[in-house]
Amino acid sequence: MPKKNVLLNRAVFSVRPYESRALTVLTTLFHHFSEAGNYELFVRRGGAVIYRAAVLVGEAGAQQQINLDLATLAQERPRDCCDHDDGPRYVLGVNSVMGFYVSQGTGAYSVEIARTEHKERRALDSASLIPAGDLFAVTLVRPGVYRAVEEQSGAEMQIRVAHPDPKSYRKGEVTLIAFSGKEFKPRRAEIVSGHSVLFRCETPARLRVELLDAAETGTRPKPGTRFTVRRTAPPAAPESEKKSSD
Amino acid sequence: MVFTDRSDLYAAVHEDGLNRVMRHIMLQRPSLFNYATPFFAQNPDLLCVPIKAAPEVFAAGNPLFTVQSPLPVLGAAQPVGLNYCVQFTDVQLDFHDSDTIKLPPELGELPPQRFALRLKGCFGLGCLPDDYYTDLIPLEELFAVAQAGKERFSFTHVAERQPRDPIVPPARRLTCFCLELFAVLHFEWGKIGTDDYLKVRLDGLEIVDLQPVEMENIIECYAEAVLRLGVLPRLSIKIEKMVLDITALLRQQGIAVGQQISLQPAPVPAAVPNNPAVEDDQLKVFVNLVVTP
Amino acid sequence: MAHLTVAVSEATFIRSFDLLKRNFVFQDSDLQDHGVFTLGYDVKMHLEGGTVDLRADNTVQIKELDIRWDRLKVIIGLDIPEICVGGGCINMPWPIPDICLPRICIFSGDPDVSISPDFASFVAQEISFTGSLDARYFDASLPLPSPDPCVPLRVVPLTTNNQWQIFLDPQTMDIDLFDFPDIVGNLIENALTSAITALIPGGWVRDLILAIIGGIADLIRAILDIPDDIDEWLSDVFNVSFGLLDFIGTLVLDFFASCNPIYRIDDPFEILPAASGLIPVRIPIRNLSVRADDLEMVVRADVGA
Repeated sequence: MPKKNVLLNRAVFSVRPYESRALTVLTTLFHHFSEAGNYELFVRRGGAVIYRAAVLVGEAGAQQQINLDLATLAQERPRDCCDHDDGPRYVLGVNSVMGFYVSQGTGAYSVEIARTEHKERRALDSASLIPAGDLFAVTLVRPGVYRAVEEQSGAEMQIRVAHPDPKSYRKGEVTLIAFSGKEFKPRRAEIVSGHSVLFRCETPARLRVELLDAAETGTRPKPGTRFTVRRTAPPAAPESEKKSSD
Repeated sequence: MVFTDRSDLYAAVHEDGLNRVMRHIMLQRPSLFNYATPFFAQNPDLLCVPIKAAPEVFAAGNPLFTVQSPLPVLGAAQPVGLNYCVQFTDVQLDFHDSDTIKLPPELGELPPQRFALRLKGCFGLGCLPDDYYTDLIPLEELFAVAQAGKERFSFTHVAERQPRDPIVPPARRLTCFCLELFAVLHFEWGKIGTDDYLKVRLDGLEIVDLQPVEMENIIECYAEAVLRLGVLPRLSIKIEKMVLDITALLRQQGIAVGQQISLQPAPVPAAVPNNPAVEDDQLKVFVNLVVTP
Repeated sequence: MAHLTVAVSEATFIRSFDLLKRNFVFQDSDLQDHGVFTLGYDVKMHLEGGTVDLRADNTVQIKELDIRWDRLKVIIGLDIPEICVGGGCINMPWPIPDICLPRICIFSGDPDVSISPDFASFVAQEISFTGSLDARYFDASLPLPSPDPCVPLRVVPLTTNNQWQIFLDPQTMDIDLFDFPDIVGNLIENALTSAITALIPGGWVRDLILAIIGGIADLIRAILDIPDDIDEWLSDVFNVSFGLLDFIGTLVLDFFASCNPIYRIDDPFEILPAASGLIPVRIPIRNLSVRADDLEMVVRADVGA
């Protein structure tokens, strides 16, 4: 068996707020294409467009979901704006979703989707707001208490991330949370480290998930084992939540 | 019957086998049994007995006989030599108790642990024909007169000149006679250098019915000297060969692991009553392995 | 009656066998790729001890010959499966289709760990066999088989002479199975655990990874597909999968039966060495036979005409 150089994906374990306006590792934005048509996709990093593609929605029998890894997108050459046969293009059916996630690295991305014929009609501008009908997912790995906030309305909810139990751990669990515009439903969620929460936005929203209180872990890093933890400055958690997380 | 109850190794050669071995030695090393003047190298057909040799001898260019100086003609002022040859043939061995060689009464009955040898010894001399004398006599007379007054035969003077090479007239034919020799011999172990060898020793020799007796004695005396000093020392066999060198691998592999393995005759009489033993028509040897870490 | 008789005492025969045996060295290595794991060995052994018994039925019984492992390295490489968080699918109300979340993997690839502990001191095996003594004629003018199976086994150098060669010719051989003790299983598990642990950061990250992979011990067993004890599994691997027992058995059989005579006698046999330019005197050896009884080995032969 030839030895491989394997690198730890440190971004997975970096603790930072997860925001819909700045897509980073462990966040996923799903855009719901409810109307057929030709769309233009722009991926930005640090304000600059790093990737453009055409998205054709409406073909019967086309895929219902495409997930795009923003960290590995590579634009071979700038795409001509009006030539649909040139450059990357994705074909989806009506009522399909396109997911945007970041698999590695520390970069923050935003996604813009606009009608090809009417560029002013933006279907999505993640740097601003998630449109109604879109979804935002966060996979939480660090055990502790998190707060999810919709920044326009100030609506909040609490997510408790429990230590995983090797004996009962199940991979790929997803908890659905609805944001109605005023509040989250449910207002509390309990998941296990490595699982995800999926926010379904019924109104335009800007979501942020941040760690309030990290849970103590039973296993301390061995001396000499290097591990980077980025400190965050989360808002103070309500007293009651602090107590409950103790 | 256990062969090795008194030694590590045992080897026996039956007299039939040893007679075959003798034949191989005579075929492969004829120069040990044939002695002649250089003249016979070009005239082998004049020898008393034709020499048989193995093809390997011819291929290697080995001599068929050991070269000897011509027999000097005594008193000749100009040295003259005569061509001659001595050949031993028809060698036969018989181990105690003898049943194939009937020894002459002079040697008595073959004693235990001894073996009998019968062989034929032939002597041939190239006599000078009359016409050679016609040529040589005037020459000798001339030299004799020239040397008159010089004490050539004195044992107290060194010759003034180096002796001249003898004139060796070529022989046209050889006058030969053959005698049958009988001998009693035995084997014994002995060192040559640091190694153990099986050696052959002569106990007695007899030429049958030669007259006068003194002549027989003189010939026996010379034949004994030839055998004891000339032939038999060259037939000594190394101890390893007596056991067909069956321990060769053992010795090599011993060296590989730091062991020095050598062979030694089993002691007499501590281990065996006779070693080597000649009995039951066989030559028997008892050998021990000596391992030095 | 044979012209020549040579007898070798049992003690001398034992010494000959011992020296031949001490030159036997076997070493081999192999690596088998089983996809998610690799298994291999890197071994070197020699023979020691044992008892040699000449028997009246012309056979030689070798018992309890010790296989001494100078090196018995077990190479185990695990291809740790992808360790990822996220993922999973969820049913959504119409018109949104069911959504599947991407998986984010903790390592840039599926990592490997490899260990190669040496268990030479933990394994003891014995070989026993009974062989007949067999005299064969080696004709140096004939070509050797190609490929020559004796090349790695030949400790008695090839000769350029024709020879009578005496082999100890075992037909069958008993070899103890590999039987790794419990402690070997523990050592392997500990070594693999250490190797895997070294890949994983500490703290809660380790908790998460251990949860994802289901615990290192279980992971090891799952990857190696070990139903029970590691030591028993390893014994099976050595006894069956590697085919090492069969290999060793064949080698030992070939070593004695075909490749290395215990005695050899040149034909023709030199009795007087070359001297002063004269060729050596050699005698042809014919009709050589060998037989053993319970006290000695006896070789008989004739001198050729």
